Amino acid sequence: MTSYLSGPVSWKAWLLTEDHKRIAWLYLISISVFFVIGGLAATLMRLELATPAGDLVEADIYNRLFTLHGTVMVWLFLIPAIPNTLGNFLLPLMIGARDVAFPRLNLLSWYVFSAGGLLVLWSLLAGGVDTGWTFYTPYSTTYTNSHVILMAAGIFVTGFSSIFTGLNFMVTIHKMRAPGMTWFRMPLFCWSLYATSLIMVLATPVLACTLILIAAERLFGVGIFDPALGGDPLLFQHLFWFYSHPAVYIMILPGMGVVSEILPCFAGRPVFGYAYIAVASLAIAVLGFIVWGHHMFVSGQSLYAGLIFSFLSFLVAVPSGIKVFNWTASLYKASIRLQTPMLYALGFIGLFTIGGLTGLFLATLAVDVHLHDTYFVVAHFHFIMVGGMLMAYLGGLHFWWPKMTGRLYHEGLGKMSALLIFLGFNLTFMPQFLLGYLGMPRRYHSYPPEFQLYNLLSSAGATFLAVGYLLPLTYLTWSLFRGTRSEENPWDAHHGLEWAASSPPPAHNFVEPPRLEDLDWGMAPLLTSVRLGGAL
Amino acid sequence: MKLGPFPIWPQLAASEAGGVDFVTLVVLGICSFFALAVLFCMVFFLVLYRQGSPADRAAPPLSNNRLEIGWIVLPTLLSLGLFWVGAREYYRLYQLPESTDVTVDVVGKQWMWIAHYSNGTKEINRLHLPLGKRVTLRMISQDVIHSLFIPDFRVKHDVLPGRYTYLWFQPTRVGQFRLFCAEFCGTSHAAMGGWVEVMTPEDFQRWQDGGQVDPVQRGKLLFQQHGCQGCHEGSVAAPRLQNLAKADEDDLRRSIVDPNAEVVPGFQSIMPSYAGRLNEEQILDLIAYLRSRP
Repeated sequence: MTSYLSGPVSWKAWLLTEDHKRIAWLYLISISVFFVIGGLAATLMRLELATPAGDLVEADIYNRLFTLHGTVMVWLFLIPAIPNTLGNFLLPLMIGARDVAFPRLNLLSWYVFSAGGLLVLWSLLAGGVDTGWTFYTPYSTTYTNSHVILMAAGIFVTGFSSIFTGLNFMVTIHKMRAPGMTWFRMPLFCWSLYATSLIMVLATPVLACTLILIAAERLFGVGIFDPALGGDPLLFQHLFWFYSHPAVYIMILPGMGVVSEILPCFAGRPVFGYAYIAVASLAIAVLGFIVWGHHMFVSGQSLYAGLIFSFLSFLVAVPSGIKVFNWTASLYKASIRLQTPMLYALGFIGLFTIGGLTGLFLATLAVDVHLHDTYFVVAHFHFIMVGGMLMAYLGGLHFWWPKMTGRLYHEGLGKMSALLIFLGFNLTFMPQFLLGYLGMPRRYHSYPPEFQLYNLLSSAGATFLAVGYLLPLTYLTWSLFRGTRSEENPWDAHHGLEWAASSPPPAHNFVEPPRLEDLDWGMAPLLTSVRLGGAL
Repeated sequence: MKLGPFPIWPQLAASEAGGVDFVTLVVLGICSFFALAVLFCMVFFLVLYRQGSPADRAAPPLSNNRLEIGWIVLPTLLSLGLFWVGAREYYRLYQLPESTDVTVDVVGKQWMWIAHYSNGTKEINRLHLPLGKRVTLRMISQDVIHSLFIPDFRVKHDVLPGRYTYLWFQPTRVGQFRLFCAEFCGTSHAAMGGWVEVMTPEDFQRWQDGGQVDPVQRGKLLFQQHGCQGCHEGSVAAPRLQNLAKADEDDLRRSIVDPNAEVVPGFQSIMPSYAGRLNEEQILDLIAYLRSRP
């Protein structure tokens, strides 16, 4: 049987493909390019911050670098990273479908994403934007003379790709599950994709409206946010965070899903508390919509609004806690193999736990007054986004790489890079917690000399991190051409329909639609997925 | 506080800073407990249940409702506790006290802090304050959003255009403390800072006596220069601007920059806006003068 990779290989066949597995590759290549661009900006920033004086680049350049880093990493890497690559590839395989519900919409989503990405790159080439990825008004609408409109247009367009993908995944999960694949037999990764899609579809339109309002004020002087025109700058912050806080969960939920798949495979036992983890994903998606005001405790919003948002923010911490406890319990009576994907998954749990717990400092009102807009916040969200999401993404990529490519990578290099990234990450971001409590504000091009020691440590860590990211890029690419051929189930996974398909899978995934009731369950129905029987 | 070459804790230099640090330590304690518990269990299981170890693996549990309810209820209760502790201290930080000893007007503009004292002294990127006195900062921005941040006092509040915001504290230590802008405000954001200088009340008085023109006098001059008396003291039907000592400053400011937003009953909306003609510092002077009128 021919695999999806060995079908027609012309440019046209790839660029007009409607196969979810090939579209996953289109996304994978695009977001890798954006990751490198965002990473280069971060590298320059860390170099600049190695010394207190602003000596490497000018202030205006530095401000453009952190805006570029934030915008590219958030919208062009983190948000599409797991859903559009691993999600696209795996969702139909995991639920026993031949493709997603709307294959053409899936392809359109990639084109829209690329168009938006190109607009963002255009704004960069035109001279960049210096507002930060948060576009706070009235700076972004009235005062800056950088290319806000171009970048906002890029993000606006990219948003539609999020909505398309979210819609596609939701319909796919509702309508395309194989016979016998009930909701509570679905892999936890599919649950996390469902919760993510819910947020994508409901929150992204608010971002689109907000960006249009920015353009209206900036281009036509319509007074919405600038008090000089009769507007209210806090209105912008409410609208922006109404999208951007849930967006944080768009970025982390799929990572949690990936870890919930890797962990039981290498623990050699089913995940603990399947139903609780599944429902926690939905709880996070729903609660995530009502906590946006915790970004505004010192903004001048009502003191009482602050009290309510703090209270709600503590509640959203609980379902994240449930997940961490269940993952940890999944190691009980396990038979643990420390292979590359597992190292990433364990790294995720550790770093996400720290990232989540430091969020409690920021949810605590009085402490946030001191920590708001300092490096503590920078460290906190990098623990979630890089320590959490990026570790999960790399873990997932290593886990399903043999499935996606039919090849194995070098296990030793894999373990080494996982370890290097973990250590480099901690050296980069741990010192920033201290910097924050000592009072160093974020988005500073130069800083007082008493902060240099920690900044130097952080910049040193970033060097290790950079090497850690280059390694997988190299050996994974190498394995594409020279890696040992992989069998169907190289990890001896005990669950997951995707491992029943060949590696790489055929173009239509399953010759016959799999019927789950024929399979030997072996364990309770609350299992993440099925224990594979003989024939499929 | 330093540990060898590593600074680990900022100075404590204002009345509420200790309270904030206490809350921080409570959160740190609870978070450390959970982080260490998770870490301990992970490492313990990793060693005990590594592949090939002789540990007992019979019938691994798939779920346990009691355990789940336990780790839902316990963190929820602890969270509510943290919420309460943090909220109480926040209320103390942000609820303005009944009375205050010194009020300083602070105007933020790209990229400097301008401080005005009631006796007319004015300074840039410096804030001289008396030890042990209750200080209230009345803050406004001339342009974009800024944020006044004094780490050693553990206080911070955004400074908005178009509206006054406030911060209060009581300095408890003589010395120099860093002052930052914490909200990104453009090119020289990182340079928008300076020093808070806390002095004994006697030194503060001596420093203030070197001050300049009374803001009431400056306001009176502006009042005349812009011809306000033409209507408000002349024959045109305009309010007489008397007994304003207790008038709300946001209302006064709005009457100057957007006079037709709310018109005194019985008068017509004929006053032109002075937005753009007066900067925020001048508006503060005018308000001082208006309030001083009998």
